[in-house]
Amino acid sequence: MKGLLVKDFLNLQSTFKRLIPIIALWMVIFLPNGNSTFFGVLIMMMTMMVVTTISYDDLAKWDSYALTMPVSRKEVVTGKYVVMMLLDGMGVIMALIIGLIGVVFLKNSSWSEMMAVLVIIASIGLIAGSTMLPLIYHFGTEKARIIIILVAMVPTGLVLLLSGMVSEQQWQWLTNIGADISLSMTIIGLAVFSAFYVACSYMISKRIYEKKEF
Amino acid sequence: MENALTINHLSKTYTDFKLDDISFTVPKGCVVGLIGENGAGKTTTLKAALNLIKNDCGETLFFDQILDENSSSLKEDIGVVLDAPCFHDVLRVRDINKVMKNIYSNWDDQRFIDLIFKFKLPMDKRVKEYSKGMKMKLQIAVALAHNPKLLILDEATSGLDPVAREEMMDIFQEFIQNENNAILMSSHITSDLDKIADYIVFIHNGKVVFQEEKESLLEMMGILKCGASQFESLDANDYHRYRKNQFGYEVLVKNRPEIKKRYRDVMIDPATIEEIMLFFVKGEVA
Repeated sequence: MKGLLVKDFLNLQSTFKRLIPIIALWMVIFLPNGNSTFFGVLIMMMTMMVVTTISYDDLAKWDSYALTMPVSRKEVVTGKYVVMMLLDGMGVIMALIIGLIGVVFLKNSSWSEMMAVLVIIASIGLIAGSTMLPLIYHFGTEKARIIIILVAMVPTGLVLLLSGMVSEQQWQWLTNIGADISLSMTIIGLAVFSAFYVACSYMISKRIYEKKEF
Repeated sequence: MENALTINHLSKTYTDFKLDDISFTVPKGCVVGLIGENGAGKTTTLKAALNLIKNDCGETLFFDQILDENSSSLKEDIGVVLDAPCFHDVLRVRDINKVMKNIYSNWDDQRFIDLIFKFKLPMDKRVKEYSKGMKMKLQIAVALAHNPKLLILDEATSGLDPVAREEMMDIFQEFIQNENNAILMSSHITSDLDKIADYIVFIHNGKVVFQEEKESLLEMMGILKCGASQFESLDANDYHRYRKNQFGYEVLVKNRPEIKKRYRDVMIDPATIEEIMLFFVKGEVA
């Protein structure tokens, strides 16, 4: 499996290089206004690069070749989830380094706020990635892209629809419930949920990939 | 003789194609050529054997063991060249070396680099700058650099020019000098097989038409050219297929020496593998 990880990161090398000036530019734009937006974009972008690695594999018809090597189908899938988590982790580390500048020099946010934001975004990144992977394994990269757009539209549409239906009083009631649950509890809950989500997604992907024909 | 590869009753049904009860063997120390026209089922057979597609029934044994999900060690001994570009565009030779070193436990860096030099492949160019032939050579280098015992080559020489093909044939010949090694190569360039194959397996419409020793195939089969009246006098059991053209009949006979004895006044030419293939695909049965 190590070979598969080496392959993915070698493939992403040029993408990383292209990313550096973009990140530098963002730092200049976003840092003075606080970290959260910037962290969100950075970590999500890093995590979603796992999709890029699959596109590269498809383009090279790599998978069928890899499976003639001492590589099992399970290892191919496990490899992709490890790559996703590593990319997510790299995003967090990059954000942490950049965030330090914000906390120490610009003093525009606090440690605890930054850590909270990082955990939330890292978890959301993993959930998003774990939603993509089984869809890609089932439908292929091209179709999966369209499905993702649809999937992303569903919750947005629901929120819009609900906000239209909920009255001012009911809204107040909902916000009160929200306020009762502490922020730290929510963050831990989200992290645990994302771990569970990744595990389920992995099992599904593995099952899809086991039946795949090349 | 022990077999490097045994394929038993492999079947796979698609909506528009059926691989039908494929059985053949690749004995150790031998080169087996898999021939057939495009779409005959050569690649599908190789894919089914390698577990890339799930068979409806049948089994494949590599060195007398079944290849399944957990056969990583078995796959260490197999080198495969597929009829498609398999490396990512941005990778260079040294990257591929790094990747493969972490995949094959018996990967030989030095052998790989030697082969790269031997094939005159550029070290610093990315795969996307390689020509089709260079990509093929790169795959062949990878297939050989982990010291396999069995090479499975799917149209591995079809993208190469005659000079490069000759070079590859030499390399394969060198590989087969070791009696524990074996090669299964599918090709529609039958002249390559004329050179190195020991056995020919002919697939047509998803079925094995024959597996024969190449020498006996070329010795026994022949093409008899005759007119209509002479054709009528032939026994249908004496030939496989016939083709009618404006000058008369061409008949692929089963036993050239025997027929020659019986019909002294007819012309019988030896048949090449290509001609035999053409007769089976395009010719008619009595």
